[in-house]
Amino acid sequence: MWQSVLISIVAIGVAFFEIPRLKKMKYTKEIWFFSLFLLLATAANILKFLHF
Amino acid sequence: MIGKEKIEYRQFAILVLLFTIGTSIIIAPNMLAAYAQQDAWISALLGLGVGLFIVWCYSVMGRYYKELTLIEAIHASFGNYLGFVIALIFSGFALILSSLVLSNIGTFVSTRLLVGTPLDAIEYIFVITVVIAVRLGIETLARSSEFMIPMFTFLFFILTFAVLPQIDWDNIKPFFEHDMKQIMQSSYGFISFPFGELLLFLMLTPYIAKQKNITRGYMIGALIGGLVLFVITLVSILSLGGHGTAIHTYPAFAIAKKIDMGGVIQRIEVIMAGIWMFSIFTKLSLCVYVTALCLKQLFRLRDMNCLTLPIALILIPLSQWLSPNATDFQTLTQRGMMYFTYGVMLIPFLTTGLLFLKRKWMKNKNQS
Repeated sequence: MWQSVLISIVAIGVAFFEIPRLKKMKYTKEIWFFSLFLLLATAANILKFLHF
Repeated sequence: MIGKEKIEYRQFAILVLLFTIGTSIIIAPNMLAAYAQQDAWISALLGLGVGLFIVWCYSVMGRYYKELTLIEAIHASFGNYLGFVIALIFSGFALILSSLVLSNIGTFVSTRLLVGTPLDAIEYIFVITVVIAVRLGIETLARSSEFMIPMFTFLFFILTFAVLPQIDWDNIKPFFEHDMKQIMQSSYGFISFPFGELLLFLMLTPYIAKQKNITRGYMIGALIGGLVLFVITLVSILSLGGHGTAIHTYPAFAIAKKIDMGGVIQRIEVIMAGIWMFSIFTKLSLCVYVTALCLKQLFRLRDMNCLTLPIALILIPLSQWLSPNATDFQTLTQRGMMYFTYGVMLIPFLTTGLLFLKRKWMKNKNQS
């Protein structure tokens, strides 16, 4: 249970690490795809920790 | 389009070599011995021959695509809509392959080396190293693997020669006890598992500095890698016996445990595990790199590095869902992956055929 909170924090950290870099180069499309993949990955990790 | 990064054909050969050896060095002897028992070395030779022919086909295709990666060639030959679907299947193959490689190393470390450590801890830590390697680019990866190869060779020769006192020639007899059908059944898996998967390198051929050396790099890497796998299979059959090789989950690790030189040097299997640590690290990094490159070219993005961290995060649940444990991997996942690999192996052949016809038609159109 607590791992899902942890993985969410990790995902937010990853987003803070990547998005400013992409924003500086004005890569809007990349930001959308990155967010989509990160959302998928976080959801998959939470499902794994809930023993889905 | 590909950036400025360039690798030599020698570095490419080393990458192919480590990709061929990684993970298959611990699983291939077991996989080969499953049907053919002590005749596994014959099926290894058979698989090596057919595998080298397939790799030669890949290299010719890589030379034909010139500046195009496989995804771009698929787009050029199948058009935008059908091409998107086929490229998506290829990207899915790369993703599933990387998750299976991760599950291999995860199960191996958690059941043999660090018993009691949770699988999650091992996989997350391994993935962090891989992400660092992938973000630095293919050039850095190629150079670091070049640096690893002397250490790798040294450990491999130590492993092979130190086991020699343990071997017993009676283990390999009788030759051809199993009929041709069983021997070929073993080699099907061996063709697809290290050699069929080399089609991921068609994504990397535009990086090679001199295009005419692609065949050489591909063939040298695959040949040496296949010979290493053959030697490991032969040694494990000679020292453990055909049945012993078939029942061990990791035969290469089992023979490393048997090393005993004069009662002084023994239990050095963890040092030997360095061999597969290096090669699996390289294989996993290449798989993740190719997955990111596929997704980048599939959706026509301009930056690849932003995809590496989400891919790395998605690998861990995927690896645990696809192969929950070693037994599941051997019975179900390995077989499913074999059929999937054979299906995906058709993609470059179809693409090349269509591209050839298309270029010919264009030429005729221009002339008339």
